[in-house]
Amino acid sequence: MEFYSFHLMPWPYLPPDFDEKYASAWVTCPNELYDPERGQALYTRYLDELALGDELGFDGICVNEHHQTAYGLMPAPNLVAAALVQRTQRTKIALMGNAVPLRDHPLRIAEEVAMLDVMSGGRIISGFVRGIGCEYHSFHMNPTYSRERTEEGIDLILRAWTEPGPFSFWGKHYRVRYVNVWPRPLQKPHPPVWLPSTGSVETIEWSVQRRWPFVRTYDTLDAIASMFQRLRARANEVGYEPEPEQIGWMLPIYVAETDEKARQEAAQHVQYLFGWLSKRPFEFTLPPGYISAQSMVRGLEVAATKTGQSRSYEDLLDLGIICFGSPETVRQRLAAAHERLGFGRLVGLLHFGSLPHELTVKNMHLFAEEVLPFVRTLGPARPAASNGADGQASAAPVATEARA
Amino acid sequence: MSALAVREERLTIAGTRVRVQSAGDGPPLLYLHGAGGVAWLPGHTALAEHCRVLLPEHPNWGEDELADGLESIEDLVYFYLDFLDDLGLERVHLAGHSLGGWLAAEIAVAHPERLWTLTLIDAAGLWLPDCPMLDLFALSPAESARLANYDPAIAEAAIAAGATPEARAAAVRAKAAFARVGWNPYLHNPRLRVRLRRVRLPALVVWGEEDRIIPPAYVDEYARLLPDVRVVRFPACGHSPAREKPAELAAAMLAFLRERAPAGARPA
Repeated sequence: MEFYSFHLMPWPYLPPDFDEKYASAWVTCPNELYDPERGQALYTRYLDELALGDELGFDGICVNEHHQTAYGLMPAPNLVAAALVQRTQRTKIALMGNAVPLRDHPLRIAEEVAMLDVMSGGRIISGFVRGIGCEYHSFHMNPTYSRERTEEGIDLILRAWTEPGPFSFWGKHYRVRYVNVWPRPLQKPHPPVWLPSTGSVETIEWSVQRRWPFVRTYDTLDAIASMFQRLRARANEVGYEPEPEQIGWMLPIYVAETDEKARQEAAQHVQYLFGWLSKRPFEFTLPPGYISAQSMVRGLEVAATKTGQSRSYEDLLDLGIICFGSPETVRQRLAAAHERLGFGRLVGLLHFGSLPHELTVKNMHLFAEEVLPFVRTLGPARPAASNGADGQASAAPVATEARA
Repeated sequence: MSALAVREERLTIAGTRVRVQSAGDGPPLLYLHGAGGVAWLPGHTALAEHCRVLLPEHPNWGEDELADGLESIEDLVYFYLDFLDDLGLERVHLAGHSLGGWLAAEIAVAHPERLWTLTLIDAAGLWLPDCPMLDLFALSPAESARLANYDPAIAEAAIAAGATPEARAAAVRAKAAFARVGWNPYLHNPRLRVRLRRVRLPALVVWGEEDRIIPPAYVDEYARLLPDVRVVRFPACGHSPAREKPAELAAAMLAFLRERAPAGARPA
């Protein structure tokens, strides 16, 4: 089992009256709430926390891309990765990922990731994402073209990495007479591609067809299980059994001396993630055409039944959205989830919300010392492709209020 | 007002399925609906007393999948030229509301010879940076309805009517179709402004004075840019005169058509 630590680089200093005063932490959240003076110290601190994963022997450290939001301060994940290349020696750096359709020119992604791969000595994992719905408001990018721009952009990037240039690419959205990327990536045939996802049917289909790892961001254990079952079932239909490494699971993890101490130290900070940082109207999360009409209709049905109340700490734990507790509790919960889900890559959000630096570092050390050795022993688990309720995969990726 | 039979047909125009509602006799009046979707409103009934009103649902608006080849307002212009050809309509009176008004203006720019007159009702199509049209994509259906209608009772009735699963699904499809052609540039074509000089037709521009979706500043812009234009404003009316001021809308349009249409194309 491989373990990666993920950092969202959130803004932890939203004002105490944020909830009353602001309707969203995304798109329209006034950027006067961002303070560049504090921001400088924060970047230094967050880079330290990411780089600590290298010292602690994690297989990789992960960064991602979001725009115009307090949720994450990495609009340019490749810039953060470039800084991490200089601060780390062994660990892989996973871009989780570049939001392909938001770029006017996907060759910029091909170039930047190739640069990072060469500079890092081949330590780059290249995740590709669509960006969540909010980015389409923030960039005023037509969401009805999100999927086809993503597919076409990824196609262009992979060909740019693998085919001798110059060659021509004539797509619907991207037309380039001379594709001839310098530098070429170091890893052959190209840096590993991951598909981090909130779990749309189409992303599962790409993962199945291309056998790229599908990394599901945090959700209820039921929702995650149903997604993974769908992936396995589709792979079986196509004619193969996916390796555990094709299935990744990302969630907030916090380890403390006792369950009660974990709650005392971390509950309010993870609530900051799910309550404030994830706050936004439905229309920002799912703009028209971003997912299929049928999925959108199902999403609306779910939204219509919800109260809008954020979940309690106990609910987050019980539903498996987070894994917090003593080393023994965290080990047991991860083992049980592994038995059920059969993931081969675990991605832990070891910093989340407003968690202070000291607690983040303590969490990372405790995880590395008390939990990671156990995680390493988790072998292949192969849950059946369909067993009862888990087979009832929901296509609508709106079952939780928070989406990475 | 006498009972009026509204026919509904499903036609295939240039390979695209489309639903068309129609009623009345007289000169044909093609009415292009707005972004939110098609609805036969009291204003259509009032017009159908004197004209043959054709109210098609735009292609894509009723579909789960957005069609290749129908990806811009220009594609819709060509679709409606096919529509006129297939129905054997050499010329029509053309009216459009909101997004449909933008589409009507584009058709009038491209092929004025197919039209007798042009009527724009709270029309999109232009852009005033100092007075932007409201971002409908950031609003919930209920918020949109409250901002679109001046009369709160009409707004609440529209919200109640939209609360069924069927209505929600229809709204989802309509919004995706709207986004495909109107996300960016938002509900307008930056080239339209310089092309409106081509509309050498009698044009009527009508507007609700309380329109919060497309503010009345846009009336003045259309009035400035169209060569031959009459302006009518309705007080105490929001974005949808066909819903809020049906009799007044029909009266203004019919007076205009009777006065300005060529002989043989005037409503009774």
